Parts: sequence; C-alpha cells; structure tokens
Amino acid sequence: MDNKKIDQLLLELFSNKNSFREFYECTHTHIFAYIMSVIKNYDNSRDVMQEVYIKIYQASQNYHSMSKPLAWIYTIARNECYMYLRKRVYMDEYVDNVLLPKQIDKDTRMILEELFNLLNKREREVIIMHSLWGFKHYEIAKLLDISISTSLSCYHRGMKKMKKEMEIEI
Amino acid sequence: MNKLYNAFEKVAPNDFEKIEERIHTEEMSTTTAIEVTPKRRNYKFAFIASICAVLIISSFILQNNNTVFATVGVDVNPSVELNLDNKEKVVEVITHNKDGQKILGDMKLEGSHIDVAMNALIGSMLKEGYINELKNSLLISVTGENKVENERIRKRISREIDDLLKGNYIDGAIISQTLNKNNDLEELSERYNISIGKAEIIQQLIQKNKKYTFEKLKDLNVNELNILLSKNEVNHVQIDGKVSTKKYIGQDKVKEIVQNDSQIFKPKYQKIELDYDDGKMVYEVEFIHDSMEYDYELDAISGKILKGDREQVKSEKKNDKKPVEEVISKSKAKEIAMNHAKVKEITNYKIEKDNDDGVLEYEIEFVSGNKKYEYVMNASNGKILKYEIKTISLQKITSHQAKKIALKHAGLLNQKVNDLEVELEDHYYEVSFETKSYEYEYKIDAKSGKIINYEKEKRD
Repeated sequence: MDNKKIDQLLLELFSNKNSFREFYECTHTHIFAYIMSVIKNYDNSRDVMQEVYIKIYQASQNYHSMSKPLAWIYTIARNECYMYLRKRVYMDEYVDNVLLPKQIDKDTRMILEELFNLLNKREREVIIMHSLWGFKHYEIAKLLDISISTSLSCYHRGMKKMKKEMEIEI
Repeated sequence: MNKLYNAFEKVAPNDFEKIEERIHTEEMSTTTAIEVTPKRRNYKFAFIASICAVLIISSFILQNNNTVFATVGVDVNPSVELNLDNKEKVVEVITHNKDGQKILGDMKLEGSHIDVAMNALIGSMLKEGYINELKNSLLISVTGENKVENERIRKRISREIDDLLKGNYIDGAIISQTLNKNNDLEELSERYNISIGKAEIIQQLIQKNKKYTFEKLKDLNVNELNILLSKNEVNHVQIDGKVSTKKYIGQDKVKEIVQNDSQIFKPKYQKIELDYDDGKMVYEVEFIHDSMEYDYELDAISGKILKGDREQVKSEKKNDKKPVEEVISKSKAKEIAMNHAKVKEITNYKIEKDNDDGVLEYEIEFVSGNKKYEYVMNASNGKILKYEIKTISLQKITSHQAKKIALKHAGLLNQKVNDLEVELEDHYYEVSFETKSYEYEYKIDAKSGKIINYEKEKRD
C-alpha cells in the first residue's frame, strides 16, 4: 500500500465520498486479511471489517497528515479486533472455524486453509503485516510489542510451514 | 507473496455500500458513566479528609447474531468496568486502577444483577469514604446505540443511587447525562486520563465560560465540577439533589469577611457565587455602594481575600445618546469572527445588526466543519463581546435546501412567506415562517433532509 496515497485519501475521506470509496478499494484486502488473521471466522471478520471502516470514517475527521498512515489504520483495525474478541467470550455462538464462503475456488481455499490450520495467530499476524501491509520487522515489533527477533522468527517459521506443506513458492 | 494477496483479494467482501449505509443510519453508541470524586490528601483541614469517586456504566448493545449484551463501566476515579448481558446481569468486572480495586475489594459481582452490583459498589464507596456529606456528587453518563435504552438505564441508576445514599443519610447530588460518544471526547479522556463522562462535562463548562480551560478543570473532582455546572447553567445535564458546599466557609462567613474589609455595613450584594479560579474554589462577591463598585474574590476554604477591587461606577447617562453611526462593515465583522475562530471555509453564514441598549452589535453565526460558531460583536470597534462554539453533527444539506424542503412540503414553494428563518440546531435545521393565516415550524434533519416533524398553527 502506498503511504502517500493513503495519507491523501484519509485527509479527504470525511468530506469526499469518492475518496472514501477509493480508500476502501485499495485497503480492504489488506484490512480484511489482517482481521481474519486475528478473528479467523470469515463471517465474523466481515462484521468486524464493517466496524473498522466506520471507525476509520469517524476518526478521519481528526486525522492529521502523517508519513505512516498504515500504522494508524492498523491500530484502529487491531482495536476493533480485540474489542470483538473480548466480547465474543460471552457469545455462545462464536465459531472458531474459518468457514470460507462456498463459492471460492480450490486454490484460494487451499492457501487460506493452510494459513489458518498450520500457523498460529502470531505467525499469521506477522506474515500478513510484513508481506501484505509492507511493515518492516522493527515496525511490527513495535506495533505488536514483541522483539524484532520474535517478529523475524515468527515470520520465517510461518513461511517455512506454508512452503513445506504446499510445496509451492508463495 | 502475491499468492497470499490474491487469495485474500478473492475472499475480501465488498461491503462498501453496506458500510456507507450504516454510517448514515447508525446511531451513536452508548455508555453510562457515574462519577463520584477522587481521593485527595494533604488538606490543611483535617476534617476534610474527603474524597470523590467516578463510576462509569457503559452499555454497548451488540446486534451480532441477535445477541443483546451490554458493558457497564464503573469508573471510581479509579475505574471499574462491568460487562452486562441482556438480562442486565454482570458477566465480567474489570478494574482499571488502584482505587477501583480498593472499591471492588474481594467482592465477586459476576452473576449478580446490575442493581445489586451497584448497591455493593456504592456501599463500598461510602465505607471507604469516597462519598460523604462533604462530597456528595456523582456523575452518571450514558452513551450507546439505543437511546431509549440509555435513557432508561440512566434514569433507573440515578434513582437507585439516590435511594442508596438517602439510606445512608446523605443527600446525593447526582449529575446525569446521556452523551454521544465521539472521537474528540475519547481523545480528551485518554490524554488527560479521565473518564469520558467527565471530559464531556468539562467541555460543556468550557463552552459556557471561556475563562476555563481543560488543563485547569481536569483535576477538579465531581463535586467541584457540579458547583460549576450549576453556576454556569449548563443545561445539557440533569442534576438531582443539591451539591454539598459544606466544605466551604459559606455565604454568611463571606459577608462577614467582606464587611470587615470594606467597612461597609450590609451592602446590597449583587453576586455571591462559588467559582473556580487560579486552581482553587473561590467566592466571587460583587456589590455597589456609594457609586463605587466592589469586587472581591475569597478563597472558599480559608476565607482569605485573594482580590479586592473597587472602582468608580461609570455614570450611566441615560440621555438616549444615539448610537455612533460609524460602524465596521459586515464583511469586516465576518473577517474578524472568522479570524477569531481560525477557520477559512464557512457555511450557513448569517449576520444581523442589533441595537442593544444603544450599542450597535453584530450577531454573527456560521458553521465550519462540525462546529457552529456564534459571535456577538460591537459594531463600532469590532470587539468580540460574546462567542459560543457548539459541536454539531455534520450536515449534508444546506440551509437553503432545508428551507426549500420545508416550503415545498407546505406547498408554498413559489409563494411569498413572512418572517422566514432557518436556524441550525445540533443535528437539524429549524425552519419557521408565516403566511397570512398560518404559522409554520419545521425540523429538517441536517444529514438526510428528512422532515423530523412540523407544526402548522392558525394565527390569531
């Protein structure tokens, strides 16, 4: 994701409907991937994502230009996820399965199922933050409050598991 | 790594329309807060070993999977959070700091009804001295998705607490409010480490009285804030009971001190009020004697005179002097106001010239962002006499559109109406006008342009 572009979009987001749409278009894959890495269940992640965008929309009123808006977005997404997780303890219906929608193709299903079945939450989180969001390991370490070496090892361990299992270069 | 991205790209839902719709329709979310005042030590007077506590009750109603469930935060300036299920039973208790833990002690509130839990918490606060005769104020704030539910919770809990305190021979002064949670408040509460309810109260006070700043008020306890609320006539909150001023020396003592100092026997007081100035509670006293104006400020606890001014009263010539004709232009007035407000782009701009007791004034109103500004300005010299800034929800339609909507509905779109006025209130426009035989009043939602309600009355 392009920090500069995101920054610009965030500045206009509250007043300009088109900016909000464009912002959604270019961020929702990343945000959804992150949410799923934490929440796991597809439908629940979808609900959380809506909350995240509503929060971003509201918070954008007070947004000031910054060089790394992704960290700002990430913080909002993470807070929503953890708020959800705190609440879900009281919901008996909570499902800890991925339960992807039926219509997705086999390859996609396989990659995602591996990601969720083989990796633990931290490994998933780090991989998505690094590979998709483009955070550096020192940034991940700061955001997740872990050491850089933990971030690195989670990443490599996770990647190794995925590659080994699927015998493909992801 | 593109494979992983592609995989997520395929499954990431496209819910933009849904989100947009929800932003429009969603009501603000709800939290209930009860504040009592925080513990203070090292008072010069031993008998004021008193304290205050804050209690927040927040309820979020989740609509996920038809599960209704609520969070009740009890913030005892220490803070405690209670999560409630849909039967209003406590499912989880979280303490946020030491005083909160002290209040909670080893009580197990899980599983009990909110009323029972509240009873226990208030009991503990009384026992630990967080509420007493000297500090009797509590603040309850309710925010949430369901306004009706919030109001219900707010009412019930304030009544409940009042009863509890009465049972302990304390006349509680309970401030309660329902509030819209917003980011500004959240940021303030985080920055100053106070509850959202308290942040809201302080903001209300600042808006009423520009002498106050957040920095100055943040350390006040709820009892002190309550005194300021009554003084400044903040009407956004509901205040039940009378705030305790027993801690302070009282009006009789104030009069005595002032009399001794001024050597004037029984002057006609124009004002004796408690206020907060320079970091302490003070009594402000004003009276006029022999065409001298006296102005005193006394430390409300020690009674020490902090300020004593006297000034010759300006002789008020009532010879109906014509107002000075030299006035600044409207555009200049607008410029001054906008510079003062530090805004560049404004909408809903309105300016009126008014004659107030021989002084020509401009009344200026405009909106910028989510703030509505109102100024009263001396029209001769451009001096700002009064101003007010209100936070409003963002309006999507203009005052002109609101006017059109109302006129169209009344079937008077192209006809002449009298006394047409459009006023932007919090989240709606109030449009009023008259025809020969009827008076109309409309409330138009500033976001959707929907008519919230309207009245049509036959003129006398």
